[in-house]
Amino acid sequence: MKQKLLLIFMVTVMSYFNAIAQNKTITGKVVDADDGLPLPGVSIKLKGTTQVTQTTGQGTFSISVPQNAEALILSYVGYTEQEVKITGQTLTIRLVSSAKNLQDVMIIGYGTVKKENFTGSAAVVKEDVFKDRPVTSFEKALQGAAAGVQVTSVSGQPGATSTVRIRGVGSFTASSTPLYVVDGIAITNGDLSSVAQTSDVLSSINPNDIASVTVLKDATAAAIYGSRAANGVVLITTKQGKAGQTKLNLSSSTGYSYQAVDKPEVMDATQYYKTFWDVYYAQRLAAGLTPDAAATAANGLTNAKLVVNPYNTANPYAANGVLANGASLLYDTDWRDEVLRRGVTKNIDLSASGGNDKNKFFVSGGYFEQNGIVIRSDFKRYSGKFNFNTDVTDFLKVGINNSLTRTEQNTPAGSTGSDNPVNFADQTANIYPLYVRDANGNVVYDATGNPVYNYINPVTPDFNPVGLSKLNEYNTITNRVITSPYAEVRFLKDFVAKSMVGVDYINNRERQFYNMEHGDGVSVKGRAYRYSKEDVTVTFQNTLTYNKTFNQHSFDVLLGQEAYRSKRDFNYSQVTGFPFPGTNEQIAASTPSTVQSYYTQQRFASYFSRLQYNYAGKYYLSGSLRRDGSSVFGNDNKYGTFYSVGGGWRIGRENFLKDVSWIDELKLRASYGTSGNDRIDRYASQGLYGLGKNYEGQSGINYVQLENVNLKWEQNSTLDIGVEFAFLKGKISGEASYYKRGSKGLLFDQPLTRLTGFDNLTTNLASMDNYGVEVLLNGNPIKTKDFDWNISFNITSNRNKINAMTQNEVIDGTKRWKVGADRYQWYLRDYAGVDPADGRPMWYTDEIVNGQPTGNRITTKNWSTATRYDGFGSSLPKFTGGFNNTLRYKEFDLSVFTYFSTGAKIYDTLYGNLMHSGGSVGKQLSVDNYNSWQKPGDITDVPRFVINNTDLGNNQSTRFLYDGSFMRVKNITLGYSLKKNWLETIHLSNVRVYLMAENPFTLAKHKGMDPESALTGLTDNDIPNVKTFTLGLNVGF
Amino acid sequence: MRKIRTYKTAIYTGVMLLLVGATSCKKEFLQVTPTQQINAKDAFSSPAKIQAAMTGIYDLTTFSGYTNNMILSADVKGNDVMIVSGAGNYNRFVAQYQFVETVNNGDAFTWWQYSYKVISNANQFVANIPDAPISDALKTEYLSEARALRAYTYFWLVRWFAQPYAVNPDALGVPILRKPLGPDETSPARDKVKDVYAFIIEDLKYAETNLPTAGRTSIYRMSVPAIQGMLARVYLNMGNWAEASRYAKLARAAKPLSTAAALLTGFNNPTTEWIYAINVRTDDNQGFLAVSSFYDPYDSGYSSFRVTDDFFNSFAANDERKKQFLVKNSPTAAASTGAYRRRGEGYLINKFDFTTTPANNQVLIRSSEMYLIEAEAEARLGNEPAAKQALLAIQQRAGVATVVSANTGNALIEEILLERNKELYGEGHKFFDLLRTKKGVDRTGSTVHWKIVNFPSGDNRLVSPIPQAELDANPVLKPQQNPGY
Repeated sequence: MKQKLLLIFMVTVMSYFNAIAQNKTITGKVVDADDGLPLPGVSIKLKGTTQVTQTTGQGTFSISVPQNAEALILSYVGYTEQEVKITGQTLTIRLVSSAKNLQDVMIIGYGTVKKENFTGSAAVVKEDVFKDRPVTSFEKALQGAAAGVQVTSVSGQPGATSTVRIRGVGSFTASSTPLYVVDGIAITNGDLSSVAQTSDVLSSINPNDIASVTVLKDATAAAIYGSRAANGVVLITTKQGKAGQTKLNLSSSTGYSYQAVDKPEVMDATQYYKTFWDVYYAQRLAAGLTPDAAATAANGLTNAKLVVNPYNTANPYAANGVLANGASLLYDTDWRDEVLRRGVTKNIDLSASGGNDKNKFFVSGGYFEQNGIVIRSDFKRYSGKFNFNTDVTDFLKVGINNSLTRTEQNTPAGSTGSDNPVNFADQTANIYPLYVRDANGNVVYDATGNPVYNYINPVTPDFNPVGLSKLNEYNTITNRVITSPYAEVRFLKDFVAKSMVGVDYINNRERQFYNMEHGDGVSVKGRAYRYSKEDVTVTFQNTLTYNKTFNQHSFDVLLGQEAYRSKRDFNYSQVTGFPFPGTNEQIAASTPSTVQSYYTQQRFASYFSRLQYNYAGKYYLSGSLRRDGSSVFGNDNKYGTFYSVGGGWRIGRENFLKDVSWIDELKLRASYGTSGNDRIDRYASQGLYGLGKNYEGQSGINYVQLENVNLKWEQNSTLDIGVEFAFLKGKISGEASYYKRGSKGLLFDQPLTRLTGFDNLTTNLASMDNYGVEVLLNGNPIKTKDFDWNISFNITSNRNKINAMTQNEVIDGTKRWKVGADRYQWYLRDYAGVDPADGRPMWYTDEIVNGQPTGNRITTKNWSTATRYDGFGSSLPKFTGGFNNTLRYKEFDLSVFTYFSTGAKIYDTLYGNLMHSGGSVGKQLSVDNYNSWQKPGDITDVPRFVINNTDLGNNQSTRFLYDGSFMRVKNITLGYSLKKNWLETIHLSNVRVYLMAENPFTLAKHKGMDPESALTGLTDNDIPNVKTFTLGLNVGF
Repeated sequence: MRKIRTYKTAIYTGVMLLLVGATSCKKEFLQVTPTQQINAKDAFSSPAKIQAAMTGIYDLTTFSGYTNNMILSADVKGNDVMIVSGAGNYNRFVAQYQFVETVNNGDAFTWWQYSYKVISNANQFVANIPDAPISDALKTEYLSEARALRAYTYFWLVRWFAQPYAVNPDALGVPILRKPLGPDETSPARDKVKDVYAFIIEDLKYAETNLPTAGRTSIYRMSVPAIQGMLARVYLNMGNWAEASRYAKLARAAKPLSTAAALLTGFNNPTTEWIYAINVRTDDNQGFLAVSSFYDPYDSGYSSFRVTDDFFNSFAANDERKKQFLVKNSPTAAASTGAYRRRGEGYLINKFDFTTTPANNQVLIRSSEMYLIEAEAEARLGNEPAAKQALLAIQQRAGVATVVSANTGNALIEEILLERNKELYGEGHKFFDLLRTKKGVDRTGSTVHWKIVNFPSGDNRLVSPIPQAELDANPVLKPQQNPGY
């Protein structure tokens, strides 16, 4: 620093002596146009000469120029070069950060490229999409943000996993999840837990640490990742420091959550009791009893059948169904209310970023907490990040990206377990009490003043979701460290060699406890589980890049090598036999029940290369080649080779369009390439005998998996043709692409006859295509000093088609996979309504005459013999997309993100269960049951209600298949930023306060069900999705 | 300056190239071995592994949805045992009780699936034992054991999924597999019932001849008495009375009848008369799906099974076995509080103890059944004195008779069958007894049964449907579904 000052001084003095009469001295300051902070090290050149100087650490400069000097040219890394006229002796110059220019530099696989030079298809999602969103994991914020990316959030459990699909679903049984890369290293994702209802280690990434996300979609973009890229690649880049004064930022917010979509209306206690009573009353009357006698008999029968009587008398109803004198309802349990509560979200994040031209750092710490809307469901995340890089010498740069996170998650039991509060609340009638009550109907309290929970109910005896939530435990703690130190060497002017080691360390510890007083643990006096998993992946990555531009030719060559080893260690123990309530650690238990440990490994080795070439910034050509080897595949097929070729033509820069002023950019691009999918079980190709099949206290083994030496990669070939454009000085921009993603050699569990002793065999037998069109449109209709309005619209239509399988059709539960149709075609019995003559449900079936089908359809009342058909549609949506508006008026900002999905068909299992028409005594009924058929001649679509009904009317059929189209307003944010002059008085660089609503509105074609269901169109008693309202504050120092 | 710089550059580059070299890989790098399993090719490569593989077959039978489920279904499909109708039956066994199973019935699917798993594992022995590194004597022993298990499993399969032998031996049975069926091989079609029985007899006879008796004392593994007991049952089903009686006597030769008191201990711990049973431990995780859980009267388990009034009243007042219906106030209450109780429809049953431990052994063959087989077979052969002696053994133990029965002819046979009901209820026999005696299932007139059915012998609904999942995956079997489904 001192040397520089001296140098400048000497130069100034000398030039003074040399041209004392001809020169003048220009001084001034260079600052960042956004925040006004001074920029050190800015290069200032006198236009037309080679005279150069630099700004000081305070951003000031002083340059001696001839009297006739006209302009200075300022340039600085990360900022747009600016030419400034010399208008006076002192200048204040504001440089604009070039990152603000429309996606000027984008992160792609193993490097960066300028947006205009990129010939692949990729979507860039900026940090403001993730900032401050009250979501537990960043991929939830991706919904609607990028064309071709479909994100589905099925569960509202804090920390839940989301399904992310890029350009359709490309696999049958292998995972269709994309590859996630953080700061250049591929990381582990998915649900590692055994206890949590739903969980994902991606939730350990703090969304506020994300600088940008690039989604690589086509071959040119993604094929560089070879065997892992078939489902697309999500590149996450975390924030890095910037030279300049250290910026501190504090974000804090609090919010409340509620259930996003209402469930179907159900009967209350009176209605439920009466429904059964009416049936018995009618029967007794028909048997010849008087109304009074019939009523008394009906009371007794109903009480016996339902096992519980919520009234204050054994004879609540009198003749004609009138409430008897003095009879009243003691309680009416709204189970849904009892298991739901208002959710609370809190978030606080503090970050510091800064550095000088040699060293840059970014440090952040965050705490996020979300209490879910269902009892005993919550999530906490403690996260810390430290990114640092330094120029050790002028050719060596060294850096490290670190993140440390700890997440703690409590989930209630899931699926159809009796311990699942959502399932329990949805399916238990209101007549069963929450608390134990005395003869007068008052709640009984225990010695400590707490109400005693009632566990007597015949539907799921000895279970009470509220009581159990206080006694049982399902807890998952994940500690994660992702660290990637790297070193980069520049040599021979154009070469850069980079070496990086990435370590992704995940430690997952879980506890599960069934208490000894009620529920699943009673028969064994309590059961405690402990799980401990350690997943370590170490990646080595070495790359060499060569960049050269001469004449009009520009080359960018990449050579690389990558290898990783991954080991997942698993430890599990289970004990039973606790002495008394209140103890749940394994030390207290008397009987060790199971103890297990094992580990799995996966190894990978690869070489890759890429060439990008352009001529005159108009004609582009690129290609990549990669050879991957993985331990997962059969001995005969361990290696695979993947390639891509792509080209682009920037028509907008052609001479014949040069004068068309309204075209800023018009680019055609096309690519074709291959990639693979290796996400199957680590030992899937081997024939295996499983250990631990013990009997009579002796160790045993038995046959658990058939061998397949031919097992290999799933191969994807993707063709992409697109056009990118920007018109009217950026007022309108966008892109449109057509893609065809052909997948073959798909890993497929070929169903086997059980005579083999196995249910299926994993093979590479199927092929499938996904093809579609993506359109992205951005508009900036109004841009004035005070008012700024941006619109962005993206829509994707994806079609999925099965090309080949081992057999012409395979039945997979409620779907049929048929060659020529899509993978999620519904295959169900076709509900034909209710027979007005006897009220029984009917289904269509193929007419068979003399053993031969005639081709006609007739109706039948026998569900099991009814034919299943397809042609009802698919559970995959036809169109998905987002529509986003961002407005700014002076200090106010408003943004609205909307997501829509049309054309999918979904199955409402819950409604089906609620329409059991008496088939499940004690289980909740929908109020639509009042529309049941009563007498011959009634026209209705609800079949007759019969106690212990065996008509099977609510068994799986199209009766509960609905149109799942919906539009969901994902996020509305209204913010206010303090004016600059106010900020200066309180010495802060920015203050913004905002109100945010996440998922506030959902418009769905079918009411009573959250339209976001799994890709299969089915739900599994998950915690409902939530809408969250938050109030937050950002402060920058 | 420049030279040092170039020198440094060279060093750094060299280091990086070294890194590349160090981390790039040899072929062995990509080979991984699992730790939860062993490679199937090694399963028969050492004596210890072979022993473990045989243990593994038994472990398959402990699956809670398999043997237990079949035993419970066989009783609930009779007319002595029933399931309550109210909200307390959790939909388990309701379909079986009502005979409304569909082709997607999960229980029937598990019977089919696990039976063929056992058969497949047993066939691995048949295929691999001849080349295994063990002595010839051991080879024969393992082969016998495997074939006995295979036969026992086929006996379940052919009784569930086909018409009874007594009704139509030429009816379609189940596919016979003498060796493992590979995923690429074509599935065999359904073999006739009589061929399946012949196959079962063939396996059991081989096992009876070749299984050593020395050293095989555990009742939880195949033994010669167990095989003889199975032969007695199989011949009884086939109507071969002479052989049935002969084998029944052989099976019980070393297993004297237990005392009456032993019948009241909960059927969890072996008594002197247990010939073959399944050993269940806590790590088998049967949880609430043990047979005893469903019969439990104290609500400790599912507690959803009952007996009808008619059946309850068929026990004489002084019948020791009637005490199996005495239910105390609570599991820990004094014995004096025991009384006959009802809850929902029918009487509560306290024959099987679920409250002491959740790991309940399951008896499969015991001497009492052998006496009754002998009695019935002899009676049908016309050897009434022999029949009456065998019957008396059971009746005397139960305390209801001291002299032989006075009945003859059909009346004697009916008395023996009634004695079977009273002795063996809850152990998985009733439904198959009704089938082989061609009585069908008839509940008309019952005031307790909440699903009245009347299926004459040979009715389609008395046979379980072949699971839809199997037909969907097996084009050979697809057109061979049982009629009525």
